Amino acid sequence: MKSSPETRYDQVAKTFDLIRSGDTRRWKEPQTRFFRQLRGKTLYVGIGTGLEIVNFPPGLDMVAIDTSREMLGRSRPRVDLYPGKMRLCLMDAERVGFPDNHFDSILTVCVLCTVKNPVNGLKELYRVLKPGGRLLSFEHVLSRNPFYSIPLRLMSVISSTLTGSYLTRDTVSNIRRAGFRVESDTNVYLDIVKAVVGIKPA
Amino acid sequence: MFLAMLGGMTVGMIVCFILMVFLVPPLGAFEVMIPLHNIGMWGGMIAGMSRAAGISEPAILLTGASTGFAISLLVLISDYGHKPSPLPDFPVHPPEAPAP
Repeated sequence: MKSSPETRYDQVAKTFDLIRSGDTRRWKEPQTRFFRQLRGKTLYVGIGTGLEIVNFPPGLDMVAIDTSREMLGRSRPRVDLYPGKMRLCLMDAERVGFPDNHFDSILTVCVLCTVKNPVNGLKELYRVLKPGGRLLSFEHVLSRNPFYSIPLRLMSVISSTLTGSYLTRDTVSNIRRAGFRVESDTNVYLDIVKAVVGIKPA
Repeated sequence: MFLAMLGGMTVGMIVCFILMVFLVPPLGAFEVMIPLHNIGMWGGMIAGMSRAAGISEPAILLTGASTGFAISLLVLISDYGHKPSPLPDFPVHPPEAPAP
């Protein structure tokens, strides 16, 4: 029987920091630069164990959501150390329980690969973002180069089964499909790891 | 020859997958996955064909090592080609007010 993504992430939580330790160290500098664009009331989608919190600018008013109770529990010590306001909520990106036009900015870090229907999830984020607000996505996508896309397609079979994470998504197009205007699309590693900024037109 | 190539590729990819489990935590998922898969695939194919052609084992090992080095180098160069160097200082919105 196939378990739900929530259950799988509850199980992965114990080893999550170890698995992501290389990425966390490698992406610290680009993330710190990228996250400087966050402003005001911010929705952080998929906090996981909170590995990226150290890269946030201080003083933000954040709401961090995740579908895994175990992940949220493990993020608590990092949340407590953040020099700003951060509230945790058990919530799915496809059903965000906030009113329309509520947030000034929204952040996703390697989470749109796990959302069941990414365009629906992004449409939900579009709904809660204020007009003129920014969606910051630090995500991995499918490469356009076949030498890189073949390994990603092969590994996606394994990662989607083990953790529900797909390596074959076209997140930049999905952001556009959800209604955002893509302001910038910067490669961080090859054309696989990207820092994308989407704007909700005013 | 074709079967040797296919067998070499399969063995190469299995070996690289096992290596990946140990290398991803310290080095990062994509930085390991992309070069290692290509090394396993191409290196394994070349090694399989070389073995079928009766080439000596030291020569096969040397070819495998050279293939691995060349692929790693190509991925590294390709990465530099893909991104602006250094990464941009992303614009801040709205612009920060100058310090008084």
